[in-house]
Amino acid sequence: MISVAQRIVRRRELAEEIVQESFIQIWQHAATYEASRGSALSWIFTIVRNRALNVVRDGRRLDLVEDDTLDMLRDRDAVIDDAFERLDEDSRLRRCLEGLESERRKGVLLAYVGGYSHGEIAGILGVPLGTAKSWIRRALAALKECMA
Amino acid sequence: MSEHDDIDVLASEYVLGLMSDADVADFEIRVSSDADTRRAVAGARERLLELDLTAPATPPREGLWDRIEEELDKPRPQIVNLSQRRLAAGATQSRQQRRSSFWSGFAAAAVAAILATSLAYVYLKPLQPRFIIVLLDDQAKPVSLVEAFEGQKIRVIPLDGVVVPSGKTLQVWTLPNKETGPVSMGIMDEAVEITLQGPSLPAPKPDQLYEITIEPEGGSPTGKPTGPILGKGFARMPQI
Repeated sequence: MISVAQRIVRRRELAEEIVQESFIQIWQHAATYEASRGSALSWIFTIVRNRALNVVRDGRRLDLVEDDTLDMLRDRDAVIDDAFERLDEDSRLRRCLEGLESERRKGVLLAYVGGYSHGEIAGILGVPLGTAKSWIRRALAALKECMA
Repeated sequence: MSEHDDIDVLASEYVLGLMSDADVADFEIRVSSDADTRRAVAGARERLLELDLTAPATPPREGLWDRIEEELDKPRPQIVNLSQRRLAAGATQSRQQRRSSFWSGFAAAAVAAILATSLAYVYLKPLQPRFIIVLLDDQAKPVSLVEAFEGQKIRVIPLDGVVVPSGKTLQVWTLPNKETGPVSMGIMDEAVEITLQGPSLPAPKPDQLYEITIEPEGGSPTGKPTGPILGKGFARMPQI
């Protein structure tokens, strides 16, 4: 749970705070969990990710990174690539992600793993906002088809 | 249908955190009122879940568990859904009741090892367990938690759905090493939480095997497991 938060907020102590708050939220809302919303595990990670996303929204992401720009860029790509690389060789998700064009795959991973917004992803990929949005939409549709 | 309107794509964007706040508000109304939308969201979450599972489990740094426990012990109202309203009114709910309503929500969790490990740790008071063991059945579904404490004391917490067949007894075993073979830690006639005192043994080690078998009434007649395995697991230090 800490690592999932840390992929988004980068700072370890912030990630731990997020996990601490997540536990409380899980505890308080456990009785309202419904299996129709997805597995319990995905519910837990959703809580962690949403808390982490709240922290990096509103342009606060830059405040979290003290390193120089080059390190930050390297770090960001490393975190995203690492998450993908760690997927099991036999994993269907892996195969389906591999079936996407690399930039579109990167867009999906930047969003899910890194918690980046459409605007940030457009900037990172060097494409207009509209292009980033439609690339990701199409990638998500393809992913769903592939994994169905 | 254009991708723009496709419910699965919308659900995926929502799960990816890409929706604007305004769209999220509208979408969540849709989620709570429409089963197809809920299904689409659940589907999108499950598709991507594996990425979260690749994140390495790391031991929390000093103090994090203490802070979590402190927070959880504060009396605070439990948020319950309508069907459980009669159970909870807030701080007066007993620990047992809170725990069972908590776990009943998680009974369906297929791969809950991470969660079970970390949350079981929260029920420690006053002793800190040295290890947590999540016992899984052959479908990899959790059937029981075991907390292993100092002095061969273990607390067994069977999860929802575990029943002891009539005329049978559950017996808990551990395997300190291959030479000794399985050693009985005690028996349970009912699937309720129980603390058992095992015999004198070396301290449990990481990855030590624990299992629960279904034995004839009164326990195994031979001193070794004779019945089918309800669930088994390996000792772990709690990690999140």
